[in-house]
Amino acid sequence: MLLQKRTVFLAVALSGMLWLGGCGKQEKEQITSIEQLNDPAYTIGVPEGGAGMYMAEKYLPEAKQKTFSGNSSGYLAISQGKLDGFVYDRVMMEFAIASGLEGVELLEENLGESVDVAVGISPKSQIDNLEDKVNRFLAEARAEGRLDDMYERWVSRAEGTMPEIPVPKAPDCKLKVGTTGMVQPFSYYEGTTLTGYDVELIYRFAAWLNAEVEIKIYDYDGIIAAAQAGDIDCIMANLNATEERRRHIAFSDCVYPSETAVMIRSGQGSGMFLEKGFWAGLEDSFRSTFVVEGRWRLILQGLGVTILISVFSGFFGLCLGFGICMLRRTGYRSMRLLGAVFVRVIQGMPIVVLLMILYYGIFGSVDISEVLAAVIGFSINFAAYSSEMMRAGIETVDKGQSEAALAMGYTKRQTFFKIVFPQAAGNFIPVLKGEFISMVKMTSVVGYIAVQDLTKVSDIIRSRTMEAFFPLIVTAVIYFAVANVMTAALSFAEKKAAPKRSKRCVKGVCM
Amino acid sequence: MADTYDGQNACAEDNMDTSMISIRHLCKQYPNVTPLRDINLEIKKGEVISIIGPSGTGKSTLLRCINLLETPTKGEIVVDGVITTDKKCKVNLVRQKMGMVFQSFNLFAHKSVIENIMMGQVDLLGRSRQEAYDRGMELLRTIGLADKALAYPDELSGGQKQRAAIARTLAMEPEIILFDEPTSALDPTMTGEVLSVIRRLAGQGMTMMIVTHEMKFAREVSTRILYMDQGEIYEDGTPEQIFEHPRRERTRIFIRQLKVLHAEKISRNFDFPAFMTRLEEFGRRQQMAQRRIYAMQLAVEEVLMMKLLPAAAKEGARDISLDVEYSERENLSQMRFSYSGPAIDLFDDDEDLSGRIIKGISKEMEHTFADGINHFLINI
Repeated sequence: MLLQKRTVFLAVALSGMLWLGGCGKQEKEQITSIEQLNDPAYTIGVPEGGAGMYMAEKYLPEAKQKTFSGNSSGYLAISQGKLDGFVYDRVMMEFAIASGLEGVELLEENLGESVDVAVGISPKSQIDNLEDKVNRFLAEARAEGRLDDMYERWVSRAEGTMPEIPVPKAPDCKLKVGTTGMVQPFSYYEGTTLTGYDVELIYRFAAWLNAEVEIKIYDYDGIIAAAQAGDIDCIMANLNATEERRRHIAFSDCVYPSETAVMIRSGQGSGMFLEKGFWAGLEDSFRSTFVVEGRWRLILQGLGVTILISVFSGFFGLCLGFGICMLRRTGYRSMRLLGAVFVRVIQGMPIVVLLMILYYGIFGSVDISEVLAAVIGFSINFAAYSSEMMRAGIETVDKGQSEAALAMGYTKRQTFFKIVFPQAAGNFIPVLKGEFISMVKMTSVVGYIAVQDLTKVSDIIRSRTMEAFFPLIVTAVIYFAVANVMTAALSFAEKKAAPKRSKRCVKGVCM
Repeated sequence: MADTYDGQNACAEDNMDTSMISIRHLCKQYPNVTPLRDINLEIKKGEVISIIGPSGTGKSTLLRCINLLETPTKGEIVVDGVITTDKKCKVNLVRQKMGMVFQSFNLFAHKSVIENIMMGQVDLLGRSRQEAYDRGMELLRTIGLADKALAYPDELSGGQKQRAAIARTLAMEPEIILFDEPTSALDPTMTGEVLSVIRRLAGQGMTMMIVTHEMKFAREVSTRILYMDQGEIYEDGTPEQIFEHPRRERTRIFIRQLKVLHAEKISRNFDFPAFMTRLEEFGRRQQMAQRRIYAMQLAVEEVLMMKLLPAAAKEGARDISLDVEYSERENLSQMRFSYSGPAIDLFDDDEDLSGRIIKGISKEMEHTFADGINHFLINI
């Protein structure tokens, strides 16, 4: 009954959001040239740290600027009229429009000069003279005409097929490369496989180097930091070698030049599903999000990762939290202080920051799986909160009962586990349940350390389908379902564990 | 019951006397207060000892020190030949021999009554659950709670909780039970049911120590009374001795629930107006009738000013003192004047006005002379 009510409510809320999303903003004068945008009345979007940002600063200083970390959110803002122009890489925007982004168009002229796309080199790479090697590889590939051929196939003809590239049988070393997985045609997912120009480049370079390759997926936000920390050896992610970035990491020679264009809102059409009607549109969205290229597998993978991180972090966090709670109850002042400091420090730190410190800082030089780092981070975080809840729960059990147990001849340990803890558990489990569910939702930030969880996967799909809402809403619904299933499971466990007061009987006794 | 326990002790000493617990020079100090100073006590098997005394004089602390819920600051406690204050002593094993019943019952809230009684038997005495259950039910029947076996503590009345707590203690078959104000948290209507359970235990020869404020009960059930005052065992004796003929002053005051006003070194320079005011305030505080207060003031005036002070002046400075005691229970104020000097009789002269006034206001008068001190007793 309750579930039905919930479903109805959800459906109403959803359709409300879709309708709001579909409503356009007030029309401004149609933009026809770049100069027109150089006016404080217009707001333009620029990519954080990318070439577009510098071009806009240089050539459109008058316009109001908004920074975006990913291209897809920029496209979205344009198509909804929140921006008047979005300054970005021309090839990528052309591909976005080709793959179904509606209600936008590109201005003919380029903004400013072309900028080199190059390979970012980590200063901490284990491979000697990596920059030199990358440059030699690029020079050879260019001389063979290989680079031109790749550009021709991936970009100009948009064939999108990965050729067979031999994998080194006896690799000399391991090469870790960072890429984004979110920009067609350079680095994107087709179904669950990573492909694109950059990915081919990665495989070719690995073959040339005779190295075993590992590809890690980052946002543009995190990828430079990952290279700086030595988490990856190099970046092949269609990265503009801007002055700002050169200050942080080294870049190879130019791989190809990129041009910057401006995307504007086109006069006609736009909005979601408006032409096709609501249900047909929904069906289309469903198909492109789940069915095309077997993307449901990607979603399942992401969901698996989210559940894995949540469950393990919940378990280890609870164990660690119990330990810290005990530490805070010992007779040693220094131990108590240690526990208190741990709790304070962790509670006072955003989980994203904790994850990044763990992944890029503490485990920066260790080859640790991202998922493991996320589990460690969330375990620590959950431990800090759960230990406080346990402590509060234990303190509410009245001291008289412990005294009575001690007076009967129970040892301190027996008293704690037989008398105090079972009652404390009854007090803190309901609160802990809520905290666990909120942790499940918090795991959505693991994308920052290159984990492909549910949220990250939905970003990846969004970057392919160019859909505004559907993948987001799908993600919300999945989180909602996961949270509810887990709450139900925990409540069930709680009921099982608690003594059944209504059922009056004595276990193991013939009455 | 107690006989079934076979004491196996790692650190047993020779145990020649019948003393079950002996306490030597026990002290308990906190930074600001000293609830126990130098307690010496021998407890024999079969004794029922009630500990009485004003609040805050260390009665509960003594009990809690005996089973080491409080760690003594100094001194030694020997239980069945085992020095429990020794660091190496396994305190939990010693505690199994000593049951304790608390003022606030302290039943385990997450367990039913029968589970409360079974737990210790199963976990500590190694009995099977069935055995523990049967024993528990038997105990519950004797205390009249068999129908509450499956109830949880929060479903019981205070008296029922305390009886269940006593059953839980008995299930462990202790050699001695320490009762820490077992009825203080109960309504008067529920006190009786708990006391009758304790009374029955006393009848069965259980060794017990009871901290209590129920004087009538203490007197009737105990074989021995300890009167504690200011962290000491001030008087130790049979109920008859303590309640009928207390040997020491504070015991008497406590037993008779007396309120006392004292003045000494009374001379001609004594500040009478101030003392009269004190007397009046004292009377008011005890909620005496105004007539009684006047009578007391009159008695002071007549005895001291008209009789004793002139006599003292005649014979040179002598020590004069006055104690006023009021017993609410007996509705009696007693004024005791003492006068060190040759014997004089205040009440002999019928013609004397003061003498007649005194006779008029007093219910009873008495004069004794011993060791060069006259004692005049006037009951009003």
